[in-house]
Amino acid sequence: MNFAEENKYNSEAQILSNYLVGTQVDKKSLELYSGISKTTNHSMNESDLKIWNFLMKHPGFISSIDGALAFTNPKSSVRKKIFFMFAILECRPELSAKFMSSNFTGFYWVKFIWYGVHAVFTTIFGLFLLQWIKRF
Amino acid sequence: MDQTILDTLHDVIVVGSGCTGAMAAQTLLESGMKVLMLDGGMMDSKYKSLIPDTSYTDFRQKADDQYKILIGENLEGLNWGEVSTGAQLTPPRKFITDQVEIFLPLESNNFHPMESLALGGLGGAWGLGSCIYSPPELEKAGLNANKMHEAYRVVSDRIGISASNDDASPYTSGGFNYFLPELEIDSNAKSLYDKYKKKRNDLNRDGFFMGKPALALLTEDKGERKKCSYNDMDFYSDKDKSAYRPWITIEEMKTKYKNSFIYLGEKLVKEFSEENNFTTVTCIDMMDNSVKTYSCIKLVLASGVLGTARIVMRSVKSENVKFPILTNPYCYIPCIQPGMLGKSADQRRSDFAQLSLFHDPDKTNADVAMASIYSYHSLMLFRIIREAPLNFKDGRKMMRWLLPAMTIMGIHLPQQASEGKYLKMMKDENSPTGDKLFAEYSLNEEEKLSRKIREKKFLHAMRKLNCFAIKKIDPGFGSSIHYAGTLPFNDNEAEFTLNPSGRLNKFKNIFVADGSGFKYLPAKGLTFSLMANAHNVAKTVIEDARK
Repeated sequence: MNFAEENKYNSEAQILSNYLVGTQVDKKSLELYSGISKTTNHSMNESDLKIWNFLMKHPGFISSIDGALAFTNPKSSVRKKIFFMFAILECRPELSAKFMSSNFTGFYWVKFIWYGVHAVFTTIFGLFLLQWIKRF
Repeated sequence: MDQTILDTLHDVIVVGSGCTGAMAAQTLLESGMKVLMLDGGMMDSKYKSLIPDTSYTDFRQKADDQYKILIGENLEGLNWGEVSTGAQLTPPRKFITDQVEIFLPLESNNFHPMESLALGGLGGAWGLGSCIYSPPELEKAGLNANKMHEAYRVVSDRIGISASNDDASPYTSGGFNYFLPELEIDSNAKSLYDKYKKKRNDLNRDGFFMGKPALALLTEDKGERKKCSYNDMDFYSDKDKSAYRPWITIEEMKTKYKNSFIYLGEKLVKEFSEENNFTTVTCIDMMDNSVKTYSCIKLVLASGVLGTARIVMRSVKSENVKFPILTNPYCYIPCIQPGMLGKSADQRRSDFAQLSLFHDPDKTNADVAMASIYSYHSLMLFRIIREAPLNFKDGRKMMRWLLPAMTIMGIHLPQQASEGKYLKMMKDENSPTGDKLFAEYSLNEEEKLSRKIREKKFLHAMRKLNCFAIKKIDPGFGSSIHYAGTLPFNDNEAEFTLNPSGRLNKFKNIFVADGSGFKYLPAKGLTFSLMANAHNVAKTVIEDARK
């Protein structure tokens, strides 16, 4: 793998880690993400590539686009890349608390409803955004 | 040594080391016969040593290289494709299907079975369900009820089955008393079961009966095997041997019957040919594709229904012959129990089915459908989250709260032969055997309707238990990993059928110990019945040899 490719995967892993768990990506996860990116066929069609490039430039919109794709094209290559990073991060012991069920506080319902409402609104916004990206 | 084995006329050759091969071989060896076992023999050499002796929670919180076991050293456990047969196999269990695509090619648009060339066969991924078949089910399958009940006892003594005494007993243990004490269930299942007890009369009226499953999982120590430790690692490890796996029997036999049992791995049996007093078995050595032949007096085929079909079709050399095939239609449905939201998940649990729900509309135990009920815990969030219509970030946060309330219901339906379900052999120059299996599996309109109605009834029953379906996932035909009916039992000497004792009709010394003879496939898991039948077939071989 050449230097530019390595840098590209590192940057993708960093962005996805920030999106999924809000933390800096560790060395092992970087290594695994690079490994699977090299060996798996991530060939994207033109439309997915356009979306992916947009997200790498504007990571703040990942949750909207991810949510929109979950509705419109759940098997998209963009979701596939996020899925691989999700699985890699889930296997990091220091992040296990972010993936495993835990004891609940009295406010869990409030949080749960907030996540639900957030997911719905970001998805609706993402549906419009997706149309816009595809147009340009 | 190898040359001696090739030159010897063996008492019996057993083909396959799965549940049926292991049981048949044990019965034969106990009677004093000498047995050569020919097997694919794939084993896990990668992960076994990496799995720590700890609980799932500890493992997740502490093990730095857990990714190797959870998603695989080469990330082979990550599947982004459609949910299909074997989706639940974790990297340490993937060896079960190693080399299958190469040596057991199969073409089909609508039948996607799992086959194995592993030591212990598909038994290495068995869910351990050990229901006995009722007398009407045995009769429909073509099995002798008296003989089977005696064999169930023998197999239960050998492998250790835990069962409880509850509403499901007529369908699980049949009310017999040779089982081990019942297993503990987790809080998710307990909540569901408590609701069932409150609504029992209503559900029983509709033909639904719930109870704890009969499982080949120890609740008491048995020799070197330890009782279940509830460490939630069952999808990854068989370290304490509490779960029965056929390789345990094979390893024990290698030690106990050093002089009368020979196990040869990496052998793919291609065909047999019967002479007057002996049978020749032709194998492909999977290491170098060379051909080897072994001789025996009696041959016992226990290579799984599809494997046996291949061997018989090649040996008989009939062109364009079609074999019938049966598999239980299967789907699984993630459900939510709102009453469990906000409660933390049990750390002390086993990964196997927690409850069984049976649907017996006319209460005769003749046409029973079965749902196995699981809690979702140690299979990781990534396997299930991609099914949710949510972005991964919010999905992760929400699923963490939902998991303790999530119940997975796997519905198995009974099946009988019909025209649209068959196998045939095709030429394939790329295959080491020069052929491949073609399978067609489609239900007729009546079967489709019946399936739809029954699945709806299960959903209705779950709603009565305040457990609500999120989505139905249908991995397709073959995903139940229950196969039968290719050489249906027949009292007459009809070609491509089995005598009720397991002998291949038109042959004197060829016996089939797997499920090929079952004419009907009850919804209850078939493995316990397969093992009981294999024991009976081995007894016939012994009697026959002594004549």
